[in-house]
Order: sequence, then structure tokens, then C-alpha cells
Amino acid sequence: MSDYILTKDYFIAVIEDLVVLVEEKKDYFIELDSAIGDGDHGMNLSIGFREVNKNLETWKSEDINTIFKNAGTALLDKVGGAAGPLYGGFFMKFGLPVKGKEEVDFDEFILMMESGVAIIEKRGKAVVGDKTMVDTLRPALDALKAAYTEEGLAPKEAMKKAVEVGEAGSDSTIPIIAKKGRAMRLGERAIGHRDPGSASSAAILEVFYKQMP
Amino acid sequence: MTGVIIVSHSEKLAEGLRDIVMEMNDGSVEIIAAGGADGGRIGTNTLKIKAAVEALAERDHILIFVDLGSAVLCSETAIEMLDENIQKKVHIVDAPLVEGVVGGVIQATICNDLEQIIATAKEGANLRKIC
Repeated sequence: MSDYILTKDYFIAVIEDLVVLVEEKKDYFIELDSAIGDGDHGMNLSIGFREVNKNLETWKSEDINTIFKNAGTALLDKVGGAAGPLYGGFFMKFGLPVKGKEEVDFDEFILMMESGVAIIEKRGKAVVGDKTMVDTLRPALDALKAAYTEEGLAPKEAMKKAVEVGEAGSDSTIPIIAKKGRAMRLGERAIGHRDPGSASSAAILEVFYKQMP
Repeated sequence: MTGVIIVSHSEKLAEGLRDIVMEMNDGSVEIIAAGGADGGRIGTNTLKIKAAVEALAERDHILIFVDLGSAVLCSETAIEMLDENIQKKVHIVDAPLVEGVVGGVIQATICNDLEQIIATAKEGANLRKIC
């Protein structure tokens, strides 16, 4: 079951793609956040991942956990809004279940995702339906686990399912009011707008999927 | 003795508030402004807050006052990253920023009782400006 291996090179490639992603989607995230937040989500992620990119080369000799811990710390320091502790926390905790390892199997990958998503839920004190990144991440993670361990899908197929469910989760933030963050103060005025955090989370999951062998 | 940390999205706001309240401080309260994101941008910075708490680690209690949303999130994250011994001393106060810091600092110059200081700071929410 676990002869599917994700190497350190896979994870480095994911980080490199994330650097590209946040630049490509910067204006889109700014637009989403300007509608119902303070408009800094796109710029914040861009500044954060530029810092990651600047240092990535020197981290490459470390194990998977250390690389993500360093990346998370950089995001924590450079990303100014709530996304700093949230995505910073995600990456700082992401590698924790595989401390010291240079490659992981798919069961371990799922544990890593669980570890990352759990800290976002804990720090954000958010649940599904609050109009946050959790609306993308929690259903996506549950779908990933179900598709792989219960439905028996191949790892990449399971991750594809997770991405689709995550995107649907992001879509589900559009017609609802926000229960967290700056958008909470807008009440019904937030209806009709996608949550920017849910959008960036969906895009990040897609990067993990696309790089999978 | 008490330590106070002001966490605002604006570096200037945090420093300005510190300037105001220093006029009422007899020197017994140490106050650190930890406002703004990295590079002085609008936002909050977890590592800046963490460093402020560490600088006040010798104080009996450390009170963090916050302005909006991610100021709370970053403060909580900063506390989480610290040793348990320091964690126990740190309290995020649910009070309005200006009135809370002013009330809290004045009370902290009068007594060293944590509950009283926090209660006075929180009373800032009921302060009437025009009677």
C-alpha cells in the first residue's frame, strides 16, 4: 500500500511552485480581499514567499521537516495579517510528523496535512461554515483520507479528489456571511464574495497535487 | 511589577500610545510598543510580539493590549512559542486599546495585583467621554 513515495525533491518543487503561484495570483487575492477584508492578502503572501524563495537554496540540504519549519517561520515573520500565523503555523507543523526524514509514504503525507490543517483550525478557532480557509482545508483533508484509506484510490487520484472538494469548499464561502476576521464586521455585505483565505488554500492544495508523481 | 505590550496594526499608533501613557507612568511599568508588520507595513508581527514578551520575562505579569483581529491571533501565536514559565505570566487583555492601556498602566503604578489591573483596564470599555 505504501510503496508510493514522496521525496524531499517533491516537497522542494512544491515550495518553488508556491513561490510562483502567489506571484501569479497576487492581484486575484488582493481583489478578493479588497472586497471584504483589508486587501493585503495578496501582497502579504507575495512578500512572505519571496522571503522563502530567497533562503530556499540554503535550506535544501536539511530534512523535510526543517525545510518546512524554516519556510513557516519566514511566513510568520513576513506575512503581516492573520495569514502569517495561519500559513506560518501550517508549514511549521507540516513536517513535524516526519521529523528527520528525507522521503515519506502517502500515509505520512496525510498525517502531515492533518498536522498543518489542525493548527490552522486551532489558531483561527474556525470551523467549516465560518467563511475562512478552513472551509477549503477541512473538507479537502477529510476527502483525501476517505478517498485513499476507504475508497482505495491511488494517491494522486485521492489528492485530485481533495483538490476538487477543497475548491467546492471555497465556492461554498461565497453565499454566506463571515464568522471570523475583518469580513465578520460586514455582516450580510460579505454575501456574494469568496473568502480570500479559502481561495489561496485551494490554490496551495492544487500545487501539492500537480507536483505529485 | 508589570510589563505592558501594545500590539497595533500601526507601528506609529503603538508608539504614539506608548508616548501618551508614559506621561502617567512613574517608571514602575515597563511598556513596549510592538506595532506594525515587518518593515513597518500595516499589520502585526508574531516574532516582534514574542521578542517583546521575552524582554519583559522578568516582570511579575505581562499584559498585552491589542487593536484588531490578527493582533490577537499573532499575540496568541507568540505566547504559544514561549517557555511555559513565561506563558503563565502573559495575559491578552480584552479592553479598548487607548482607554485600556491608560487605565491598566495607571492601576499598575498603584498596585501589583493582576486582577485589579486587568479589571481597571477592562473598565475602559465603559468610559464615557462626553457626560
